[in-house]
Amino acid sequence: MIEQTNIFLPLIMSIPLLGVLFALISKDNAEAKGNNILSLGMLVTLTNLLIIFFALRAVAGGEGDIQFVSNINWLSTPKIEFVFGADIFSLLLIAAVHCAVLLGLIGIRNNTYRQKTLIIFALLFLSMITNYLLSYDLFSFYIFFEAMLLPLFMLVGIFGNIKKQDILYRFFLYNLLGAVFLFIALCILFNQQNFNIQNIGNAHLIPKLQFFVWGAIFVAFLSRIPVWPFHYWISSINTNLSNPLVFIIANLLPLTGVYGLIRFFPLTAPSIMTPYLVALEIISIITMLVIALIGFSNRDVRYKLFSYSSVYYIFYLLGALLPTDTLLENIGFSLFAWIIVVAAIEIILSHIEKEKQCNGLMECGILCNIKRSSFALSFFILAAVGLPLSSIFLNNMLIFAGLLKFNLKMSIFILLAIVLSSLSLLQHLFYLRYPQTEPQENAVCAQDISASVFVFLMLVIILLLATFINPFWYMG
Amino acid sequence: MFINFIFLLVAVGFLSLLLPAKRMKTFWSLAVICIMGYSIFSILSPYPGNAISFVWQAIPNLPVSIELNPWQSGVYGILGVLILHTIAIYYNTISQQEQNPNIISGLLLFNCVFMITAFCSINYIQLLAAVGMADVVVYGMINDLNAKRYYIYGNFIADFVLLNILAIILGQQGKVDITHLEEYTKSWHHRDFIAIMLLAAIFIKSGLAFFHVTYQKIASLSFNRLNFILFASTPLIGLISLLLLNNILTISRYSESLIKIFSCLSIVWGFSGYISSDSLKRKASYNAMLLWGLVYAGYVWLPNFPLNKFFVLLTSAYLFNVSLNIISKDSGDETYISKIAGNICHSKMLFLIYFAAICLYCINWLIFSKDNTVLSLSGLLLIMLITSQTISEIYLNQGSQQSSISSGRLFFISLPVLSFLVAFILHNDHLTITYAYFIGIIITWLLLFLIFPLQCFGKAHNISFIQAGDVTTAIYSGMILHPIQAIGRSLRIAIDFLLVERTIISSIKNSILFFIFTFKSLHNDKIWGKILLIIFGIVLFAATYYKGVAK
Repeated sequence: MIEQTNIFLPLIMSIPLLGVLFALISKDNAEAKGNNILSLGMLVTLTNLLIIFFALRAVAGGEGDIQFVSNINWLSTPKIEFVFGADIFSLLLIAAVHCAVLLGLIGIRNNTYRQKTLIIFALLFLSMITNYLLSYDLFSFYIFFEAMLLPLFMLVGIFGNIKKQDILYRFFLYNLLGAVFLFIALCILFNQQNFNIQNIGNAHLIPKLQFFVWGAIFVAFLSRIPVWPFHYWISSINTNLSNPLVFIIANLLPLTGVYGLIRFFPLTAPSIMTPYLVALEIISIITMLVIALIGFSNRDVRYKLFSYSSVYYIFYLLGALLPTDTLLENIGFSLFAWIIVVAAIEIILSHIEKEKQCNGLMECGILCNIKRSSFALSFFILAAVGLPLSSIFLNNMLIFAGLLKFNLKMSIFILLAIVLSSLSLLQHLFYLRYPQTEPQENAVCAQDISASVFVFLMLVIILLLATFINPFWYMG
Repeated sequence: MFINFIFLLVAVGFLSLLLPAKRMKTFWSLAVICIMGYSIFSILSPYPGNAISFVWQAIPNLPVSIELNPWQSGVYGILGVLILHTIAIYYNTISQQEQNPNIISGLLLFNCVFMITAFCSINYIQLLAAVGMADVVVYGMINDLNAKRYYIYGNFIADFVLLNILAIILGQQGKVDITHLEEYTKSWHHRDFIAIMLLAAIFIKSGLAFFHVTYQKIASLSFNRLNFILFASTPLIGLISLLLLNNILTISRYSESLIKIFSCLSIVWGFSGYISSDSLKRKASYNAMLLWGLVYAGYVWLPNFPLNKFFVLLTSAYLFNVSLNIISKDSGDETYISKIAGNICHSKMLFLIYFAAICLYCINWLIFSKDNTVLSLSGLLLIMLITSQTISEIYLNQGSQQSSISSGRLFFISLPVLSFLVAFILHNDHLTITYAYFIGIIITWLLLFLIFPLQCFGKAHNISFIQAGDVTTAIYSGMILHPIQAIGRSLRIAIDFLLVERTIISSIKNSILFFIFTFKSLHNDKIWGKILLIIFGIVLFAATYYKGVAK
């Protein structure tokens, strides 16, 4: 039996899944070169983005935190009920994920290697992560938290580089750990009642069990975030993927961990966990600093990007762990622009990587002859480091204000890590732009991104600028 | 009228960016100059118009208002910004080196609006946004990659520091209005840290000693862009931030001492750099360093900071650098003094223009700093020494004549200098007071020019180490950059490779292999496997009994 108050959620949840079904039955022959599937993927993403846009308008204009609540009663004994709902935060993240996947689809437009498989799994991942971000009960939360790993596992397996067996081993190991912990914890909680996530703090457990349950949830979400020692498997994945869409999808995985911790902690968590949150903060800050230092000294651009994104994910996590929920929207606004910026950087870097390999060019100074890529990459990197070009700028300031208010000394290390990771991105931008030798007249030049892709990137730039001027731009 | 010209500047700025590169270059530039003229006329009118104020819903939980008020920081600030930008646009128009003056004009107009926005800031967000946007605009104007790189490194760090200082205050106070800073200073949270970090950000922006690498690297730009960046962009933003946030500095006892130390260091560094540099462009950037050192010295040693006189001084310093450009232009775009050597009889006009620029520079320094005699006279002496040294080197040095100064048509290029001189004479109330000084300056300067006391520093032109002038970059690389990279590499080996890869993951992998081996052994069809299985069962039984029954 389905009880729903609005059509938005069922549409947002079902469109990517329908896309998967259509993609499954579409032709993937040599003549079509996968364009059929690619168009389908883009259509699905764009359609869903449009619906999310209207949903955001409705949520922003509505009252209350969670809206469009839909209940699906699946079983009466045991009583299993799926609850889905949305607030501005979750919708912003869903919109950002869709934009990132759309950018990824643009990035693979010329890549014909198993494009059908790639797009099917990408859409499946999109469906799973969308459902995860809309889940409001323990059962569906767990199912989608784990289900999104399947398409990613397949994508890494198919599109990973030479070391993919090792990477998959780590992938499996760390995620198994997280999955087992979350499963046990949620089973114990489910024994009490199939709680909505908002009411999870009401579960009455004996202190030892309470400690175990919350500790397990804690570890499960942490296993997705690049906090030491979990950073290693994520860095292995990120540095061994050359397909932009798979990279973007892999880079979204820590978001699920951060989102989980935001939904469960810190306001709903019992006081027994408070000392451990401090320990987590300390470990997170050390990890940030270590990753930033490694990224700064590393020449590999993918590691630099991983280092930058890890530092920012941990930064958002620390902002979310503050004992206040006033920053939630700021984190959402900032994450929205940040996810798009990282995806855009990735597709330009992949283009450069491809040109480098195809034409046997040096990476150093490769951008000096390709103006469009150079302009777009410069803009996105300047926005990524926090200059006033997107909503990252002001919203991060508020998150900083929150962090600095609670602990100035620890926050200084966070700032140091952010500066290092940002400088490392800037360093690479100039490495790509600055030729070490004078370019010769007859030398082979890299091909620039096509005019249509550039136009699309310009639209993304306009969107980012709109978020800087007013994060509520979609309100009209 | 105020609102009209602000919107006009924005609209024309957009149009300039959209215009085709090689269409209507001169016409459009002249139109832009006319618009700047209209803006100056508007701000000079008895009633420049109402303030522009609107709510900028930047962040939902922090509503921010933007206010542009011509009366807020005095009309002189806005007027100064407009005049500096008009001069930059003028030189952009007549410069033959600029491939696309339309885009530069557009960027200059945007920068002008952001500078005015920063100047009129009533809250931190407005200030931060204006500072950041101005940085992006100037970044777009720099057409040398190395200069661009150093510019963005320096300014990104400065912006980030500034943002975080204001974030600390915002976090503790919960308000963004600059007027509430005074309340904050009474509660004194992290006073030394905040004040020192604010000063670091301001020093980076203004390019004071040890933070001047950015402005040394931009010496490769054309004179027009170089002069604009040195006087009318980021360094000025640094001073604007200081003037707006000066309440923060009062909370720390170190603030004043730090400004004094760094301003003196900048004066010394700027002076020594100027007299030892062979390149006119490097001289221009050292002159800016000297000027900003003197201005910051004025900020701490003068009883009141005279904003209106400061802008006149800034314009004079700008025009002095323009006169260096004129020397370069007149000698076939040669920028090395050692290659420019000539005879005074061949270019009297050039000498007169240069002399007019120097007089303006010296007199305006005197007017700016007249409340502190020691500062005033020492500053004047330094300015006279550097200005006379350049012209002595050119006119009195007969050493290596590779090109000579021609007396070409200098009218257009020297028009702003002459116009400013005329305007200064017509509108200066201090002229009668400074009349005696003026005569003294002329005599002393001519004496310095003829005696050429700094002749010995000409030998430095042949020393490549001094001419490279990269000491600070070497210090940063050796003391900060390389250690950070070494730490990063060590951490990668120690943590990622040894600890995680070789210890944790290997241990787990080996443990799993061990379990697989054990269970395989248990299930094989050999006698010791069966024994092991029985032992395993007994242990399991005992453990269950102990936990379930015995306890």
